[in-house]
Order: sequence, then structure tokens, then C-alpha cells
Amino acid sequence: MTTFMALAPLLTVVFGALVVLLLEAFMKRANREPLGYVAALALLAAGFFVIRSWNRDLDYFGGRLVLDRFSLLLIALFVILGLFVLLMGLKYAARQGMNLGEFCGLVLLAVAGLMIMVSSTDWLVVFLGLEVLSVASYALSGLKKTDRTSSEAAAKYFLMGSFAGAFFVFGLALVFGTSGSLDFSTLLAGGVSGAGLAPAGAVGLGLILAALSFKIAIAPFHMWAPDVYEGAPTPVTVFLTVGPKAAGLAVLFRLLVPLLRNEPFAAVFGSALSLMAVLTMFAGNLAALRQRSVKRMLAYSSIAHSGYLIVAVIAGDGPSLVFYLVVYLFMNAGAFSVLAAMSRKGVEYTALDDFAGLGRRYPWLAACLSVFLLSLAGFPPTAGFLAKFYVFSGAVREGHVALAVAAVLASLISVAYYLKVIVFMYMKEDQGEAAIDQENPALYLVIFLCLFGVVQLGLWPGNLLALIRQALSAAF
Amino acid sequence: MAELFWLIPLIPGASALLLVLFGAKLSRRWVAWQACSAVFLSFLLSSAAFAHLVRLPPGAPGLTKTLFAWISSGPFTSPIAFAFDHLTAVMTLVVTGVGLLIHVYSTAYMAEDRSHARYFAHLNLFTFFMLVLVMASDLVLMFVGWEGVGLCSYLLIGFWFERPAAAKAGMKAFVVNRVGDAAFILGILFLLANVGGSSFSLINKAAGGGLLPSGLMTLVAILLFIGATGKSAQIPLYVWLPDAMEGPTPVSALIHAATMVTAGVYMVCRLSGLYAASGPASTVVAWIGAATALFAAAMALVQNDIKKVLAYSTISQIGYMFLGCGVGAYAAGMFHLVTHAFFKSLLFLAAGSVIHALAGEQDMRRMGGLRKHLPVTFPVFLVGALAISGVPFLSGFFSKDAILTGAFAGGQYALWGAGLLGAVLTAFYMFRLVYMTFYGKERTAMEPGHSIHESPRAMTIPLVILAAFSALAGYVGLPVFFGEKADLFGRYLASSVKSGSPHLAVPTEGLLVLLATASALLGIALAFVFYRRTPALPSRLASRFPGVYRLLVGKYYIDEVYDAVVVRPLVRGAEKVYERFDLKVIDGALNGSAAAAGLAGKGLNFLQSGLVRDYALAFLIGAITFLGFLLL
Repeated sequence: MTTFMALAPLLTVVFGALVVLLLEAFMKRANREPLGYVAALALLAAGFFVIRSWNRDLDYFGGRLVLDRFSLLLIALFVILGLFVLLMGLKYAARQGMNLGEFCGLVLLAVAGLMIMVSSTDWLVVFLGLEVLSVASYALSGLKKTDRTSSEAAAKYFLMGSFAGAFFVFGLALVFGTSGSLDFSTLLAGGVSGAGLAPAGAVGLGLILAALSFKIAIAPFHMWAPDVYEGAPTPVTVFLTVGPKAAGLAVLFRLLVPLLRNEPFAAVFGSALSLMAVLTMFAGNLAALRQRSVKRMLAYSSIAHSGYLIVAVIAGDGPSLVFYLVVYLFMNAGAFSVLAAMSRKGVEYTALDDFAGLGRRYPWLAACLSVFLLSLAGFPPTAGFLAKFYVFSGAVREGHVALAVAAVLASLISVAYYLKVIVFMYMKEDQGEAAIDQENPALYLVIFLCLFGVVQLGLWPGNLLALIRQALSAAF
Repeated sequence: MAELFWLIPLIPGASALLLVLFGAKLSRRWVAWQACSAVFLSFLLSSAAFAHLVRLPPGAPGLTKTLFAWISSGPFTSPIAFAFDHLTAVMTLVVTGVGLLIHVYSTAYMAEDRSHARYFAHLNLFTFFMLVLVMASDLVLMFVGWEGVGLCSYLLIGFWFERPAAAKAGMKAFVVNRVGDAAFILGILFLLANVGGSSFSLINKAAGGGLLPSGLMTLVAILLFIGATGKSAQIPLYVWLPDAMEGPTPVSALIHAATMVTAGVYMVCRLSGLYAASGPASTVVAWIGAATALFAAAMALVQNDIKKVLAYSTISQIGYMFLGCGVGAYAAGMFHLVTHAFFKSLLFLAAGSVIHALAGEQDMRRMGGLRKHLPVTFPVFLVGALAISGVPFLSGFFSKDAILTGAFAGGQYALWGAGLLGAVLTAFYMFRLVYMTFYGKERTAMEPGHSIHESPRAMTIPLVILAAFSALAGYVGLPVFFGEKADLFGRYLASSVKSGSPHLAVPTEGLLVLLATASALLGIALAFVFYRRTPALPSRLASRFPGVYRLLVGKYYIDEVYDAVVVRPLVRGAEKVYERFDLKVIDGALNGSAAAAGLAGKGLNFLQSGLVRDYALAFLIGAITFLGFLLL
């Protein structure tokens, strides 16, 4: 149904961003926390519209923006992500010298970009969303203006992102030149008819894939990721490791899955993507082994998880992909939240040595982090185990046995570095005393919610899976 | 009470949770009581469920309880469901029964430890996961328990993490186990993709009904077995178990002798339908078992650490169990598992009592003559040693004989011979240990004033109970010449596991029993000659065959080989990735920021360090490669 209501979630978020930015001008510097609540309210309103639009297949702009159940599901994921990031940032901003108003406004804008990306069926609209997201993310990663690594991250991300954006546009031009349309469906129709693509079209598609791979942080386009994830303020890192990844994968999934069902495409793209998936899993996990900073280790782990996710895309296994994304949101946000909690004014503790003896000094934080890490490592019965289990069993079911074997081996390596943190927390005497400022209720709420998600989805995943299956059955 | 059987794992689980969260605030007495009574309750429930089970008419299915739906993935679903059939009952009783005794023993053994609550929390947690493993009605839930016991084993081996060796041993156990687990999960994935379900009954039915291609069955069976070699410390993944002796001794008794390490045997028995249907996989199981039995027994001959001898002995005895399973005598394998659980935990706990008496001494060269000082520990240890050696009419005699008879009846004479040779070695190294520890001159290096004393009641009572079981447990599975119906154990398990080979004629079987007895006595006699009558003989022999001796003492250098072939390349690979990508980036960033500091105020000058250019170049090369791949 074509109706203006299809824009409601998007407009709410953008409007919220504008309100926050305006309000900031009228607020005292001392206490700007209400801005966070306003932003959260905007996200909640968007969530309300998402629920309202469920099952109604709204669209607008001549069908270029579609709220089918697949995109609604992902938008809901982004709303939750946005809320987590905002809650994490409330105290963090003041402590680490960030401007809360800018932070909230930019997070909302970035969420808007993500929403556009997942709900569009047209290349140009995807690009629009990508740019909205990117510009906001560049600024977000540089928000700790006094911190050199943060500014460096922003600059690197910006330069590399523009580079990738140029690839995207050039690829778009080639695709448009050969197929005469920017609509996904034209490309798909060409694929389904079995004709395949003209070489120029294939190059175009390849360039677009490269640019998307950059956003998802897939090897060999992942080089920027560890620096940026490490340098960005921790709440922003959560956003960057989940948001762009999910949106990029959703676009890839919408586009690639029908294409990969088609022999000439599958022969070419399937093997290229498999190679990238394997490369990503191993590069991420091997590099993470040697890290001395937990934040950087988690950054590499995030790259490795991109690899597992691509396996789901290659297998065409939508439910597993979305389930993995949801679980990844909870366990990753949880792990980074504990990291964000390890801070006080002006100081953040991220080195492995700072975690020595944490189990004795802050037993609850350590216990939560252990659960998140075990989940990231895929240890049963946490949600991370189920997520990996679904993805790998989907790959085997669809006949990608070698890929599944590689994924299992890669995740075998990953256990070593996740466990290392737990060893440090429980089995090392503390050397320095990392004194943590524990006055941070919003952050602890996020940790609790993530813990709840990880345990709940590990034991009772049925409801969410049913929802995901229902959402995907209609769309694909 | 039997219908409450699903609480069996949950009670220790709940207790573990309480102890993890509040253990530090509870008194030592309370912690010990709570941990022991949780396991005791589980034991009571298990007994009730067992009583219910044996009263059922033959052929009736066991108890099942579905707690809730868990995984549903397309065509297949896997609920969280517990089952209690004849096979489960055996394992559950062993885990809770032996577990209870070891919990009680621990209250005294660990009374002085500063992390008392953490110890009992982990021990309860282990019991929980082990019971989940045992009672799971499908393979995926079993895997949950399988991974969980691995985690607890790691936590308990590294319990005294102040000792670097303990922390390292825990890590090694965990990593080696994960290698096996990776194969295990692949096996599960293949099964799911082809069977469409993961419940044991479904898998056994599909395998028995010939629904699966035989190549696939062999592949799956071998992948699962690789998982079992990790958990049960068999060739090639046995290397972690000797190091695991760094953990507290009751842990070695519970986890690394009686229960967790036998999980692989249990898994093979649980899937006996699958293994019976795949000839090649069964052959692999049998030969790996036999090879491990011999190989580990040979290493036990030269160990001087009392716990290490027992560790290699455990590896060797589990080899026997796999040998039994591999030749189709699943009931015999389970039988040996049960008797082994009794006598091996007895031996470990008694060794713990010795170590306790000597204030932590584990080297047998500094023991000797303890017979007089330990009036309870010595006789019970002797019972255990006689039982494991296979001396007639103790439990180990019957169970080992059942395995060897099974191998002989299946026409596997080479395996039978290997088993017999292993029996000689077993008796030899056990009595070497007995003579070195309890007989001869006192070689203890105790400070004056510290007298050698027998352990407290809480430790000796479990020892006596275990000794009684070690002596008598064999009578539930008598060989066939005591009558067709004498093998109670085998008949009891007939509904749960595949039955073995046909029975032999009574005279043949009698001959086999005589041979087995002779080999046990030969081993004991040799040990007597070597370590009691002419104690100079071992060193003379060692200097006569220096190569063999060094090979055994060096544990065949397997650790070194693994280090060179697997560990170091992996570490080097990680190092390479780290140097190529990460170090350059970090250093570059540092240089970059140094440059920026130098050019203060000039904005983003550090970007000219060339780093971003490097990244862009990498991106470009990647894109070109990708495109080349697409077009060519």
C-alpha cells in the first residue's frame, strides 16, 4: 500500500535529531542528560510506528522505499541498537568530554541512514542511506575531540569511506549503463532469465560489492576497521560494529540471494564470496590472538563475526542471518558496555592487564563479561552458540560443507582469545588498581538487558525465530 | 518420586548458581553441606528413578520429560528434554554416587583452602553439566553438557592458578578438548543435514534402518569419535590428561577418572546403533582403544609421580572401554566404565590421602614404607590395585574379562592379544606403585615434628565404601560359564545398547579367563621381582635399554611433536598476521601521533604518515583482485 505512513519511522527519527540539536542550544552545559531522553523518545516512537506497520507492506516514492517485514525487522533491530548506544552514552559523554547533544543527534541521523538502506529497493536510495549513515558515523567516531586516537579514527574513516563511496557510485554508473535501471528488480530479472550480466555490469556489481564489503568490514576491505573501532568512543564502537554491518548485509542479502540461486552468478560470485568469508574469519581471529587491548581484540573479533555472517548470506539462509545479527547485537553491545563501564572521569581501561583480578574486585561486571565472551565464542547454552549453530548447519544443509568446516575451525581459534580475558579476570592477581566509577545506572541497564538477551535467546529462541521466519517467508 | 527425575541435573545446577553468586558470604560449613546435600538429593532421585525403571515390564520405554522447545531450524526441532533409560540410569548412578563420595571426601581435603566456596561451586557446576550430558535425549543437548564439563574441567584443573603449571595445564586441557569438540560439532552438523533430527533414537533408527549412505555414517561416526578422543583422552588427543593432574586430587578422581573422561565411551554406547552400522568406524574405535591401552600403560611404567601413574592408567583403561565398544561388546565397555569408576576413584582418593599425609608430596621416590602409618589407606589402596590388575573375583577381573572375551568372540585375535599384554603391564605398573609407596624403606623427607598421620573420617569413610564397591561390583556381570543368566548387567543393558557377539563355548571361555588371570599374576610377580626382591633391577634394565627408557620417560615426545607441528605454526601464523597488519598500524599510528605532536596546531598532519594511503592501496588491490576473479 502506498502511503505517506511508510515514512513515519524515518521521519520520527530525523525529526528527533533536529529537535535534539535545537534544544541543545537552550540548555546549560552542566546537565544535558534530558537530551538523551528526548532522543530515546524519538526512537521509541519510531519503534511504535514499526509495530504499527507490521504486516501492512507500506511503500512510498513509487515503491523505492518499502516497509516489508524484512526491513521492519531490521529497523526494529536498529531502534534497539540506537537505544543501547544512547543509554551507554549518557554518562560516558560527560566523563570522556563528549558533547551529549551532538552525540544524540548524530546517533539518530545514523540510525535514519540505516533505515533508508534496509528499506530501499533502488540503488540510488541505498546510496543515499549509505551516505547519511557514513557522514554521521565519521563525525561520531571523532566525537572525543580531545583524544588523538578518536580524531585519527574519524579522519581515517572519512578518507577510506569516501574512497569506498566513490567505488560505489562508479559501480552504480556501470550497472545503470548496462541494465538501464537502478532498480534491484531489473538486475534480478536479468539474472533470473539466465542471461547473466554484461561484463561491464559485472564489474559494476563487483565494485558495489566491494564498497558494501568495506562497510561490513570484510577482508580484504577491513583494514580501516580495527583502528576506527578502537579509536571511536566505546558507545560509537558498538554502533559501528553492529549497525553498518547489519545494514550492509541486509542489502547484500536482498540482492545476492536471488542472484546466487542462478547458476552463472553462483559460479562467479559464490566462490569469490566464499573466499572472502574464509579470509575474513581467519584474518580477524588470528589478528585478535595477539592483542593486548581488549577493545582492539573485540574490534578484530567483530571482523571475524562478519565472516560468519557472510556464510549465512552465501548459504541464502535468511532466518539464520537475522537471528545471528540480533544475537550479535546483544552479546557485542554487552561486551562493549562492560568495557565502557571500566572507566572513570577522563580514563578508560581497555588494556588486558587492567582486567587482571577483576573477578575479585567487581564480581558482577566480571561475571557479565564472561557470559558475553563465552557467547561470542559460541559456547553452549548461550545465544552465541545457537546463532553459530544455525548458520553452520544452514551452510551444511545447502551443501557449503567446506565453508562450514572453515567456519568451525576459525571459531575454534577464537576461543583462545576470548578465554584469555576470562583467565585474566579470574586467574591473575591484579597489579594496578583500575578504580571504576560505578555511578552509571543507564549503562548497567544496558548490560542487564544484553545479559537477558543472551540468556533468553540461548534457551528460548523459539518466539524470535518464529517471528523472523514469518518475516522472511513473505519477502523471499 | 520417579517422575521428578528431570530434577536430577537441576538440583546441583541450582546449588552451583547459589554458590557462585553468594558463596563468598556463606560459612564454610554451610557451603560444604549445601554442595553435598545437592548431590545427595540427585543421588536419591536417581535411585528412585532406577527402582522405577527396573520394575517396568521389559521392552517398555524409559522415562522422558520435555522441559520446553529449544531449537527449531526448518525441518528439525530439538527440545530441551531429559531421558532416563537403562543406559542413562547406570551413568547417572555412577555420577551422583561416586560424585557424592568425592564431595564428602573434599569437605576434609579442601577444608583449609582459601577458595573453598569457589571449589564447591565448580564441583556442583560440573555435576550439573555432567548430568545434562548423560540425561540429554538428543545430541545437541548432549553437546551442551559436553562443552560444559570441558569448561568446568578447565576451571578445576587451573583451580590453584597461582601455580603457573596449573594455569597452563588448564588451558592445555581446554584447547585440546576444543579441537575434539570442533570435530564433534561437525559430526552433529552432518547428522542434522542428513537425518533431519538429533534425538538419539532417531539417529540410531536411521543408522540401523539403512537410511543413511554408509560413507556418511562412517564420516559422522569418526568425527564424533574424534570428539570422544579429546574428552576421553585417547590417541591422538590424550596429551592433556597427564597435565590435568595439577588440579586438586578429588577433582582428578571425579572428573579425570570416574566421570567426565568416560563421557566418550558413554557417547559411543548411546549411539551404538550408528557405530554398529558402520564397520570401518568400529574398527577405528577398537584399534585406537587398543593402541591407547598399550601405549599409555607403557608410559605408566616409568612415571615417578603417583598421580601421573594413575593418569596414564586412566588413559589406558579407557582404551579398554573403547576396545570393547569397537568390537561390538558395548555392554562390556559400559561394565568396565562402571567398575573403573569405582576402583580408579578409590585409587585417586587413596593417593590423595597419601599426599595429604605427606603434606603434599607426590613423588614416589620419596615415599616408601607407608604401610604402617596408613592403616586404612593401605588396605583400600591394595583392594583398588588388585581390582584394576584383574586379579580374580574383584570387579576389574570380570569387566576386563568381558571385554577381552568380546574381542575374542568377535574373531579379533590381535586386539585380544593386545588387551592381554596390556593387562600384564597394568598389573606391573600398579604393583610397582604399591611397592614403591607402601613397602620398603621410608624415604620420606618430612621435617621433624611433622608425623605421618592417617586422614580424617570424612576422607577414610568414602574410601572404605569405594573399596567395597571395587571388590564386589563385578558380581553383577558374571561370565557365561556361571550360567546363561549370570550376566545381569549385560541383560539389563540389552534394551539400550546393541548386543555383542555370540557367546563362546564354555571351555573356550574358561581358557580365556585362565589366561587373563595368569597375565595379571605375571604382572604382579614381575613387579615383585623388580621392586621388592631385586630393587637394582629397574636401573640396570634402564641402562641396558637407554633408548626405550628415554622414549618412555620422554612420553614418546608427543608433546614436543604437537608443539612443533601444530602449536608453533599457529602461533607463528598469528604472529605474522599481527606483524604484517597490526604492528605496522600501531607503530605507524604512534609515529603518526609523534609527528602530529611535532607539528602541533597543524591539524591532521599525522595522516601523511602514509598509513591511509596504505589502506587505500590495500582496498584497491583487493577490489582489483575481486574484479579479476569475477571476470576471469
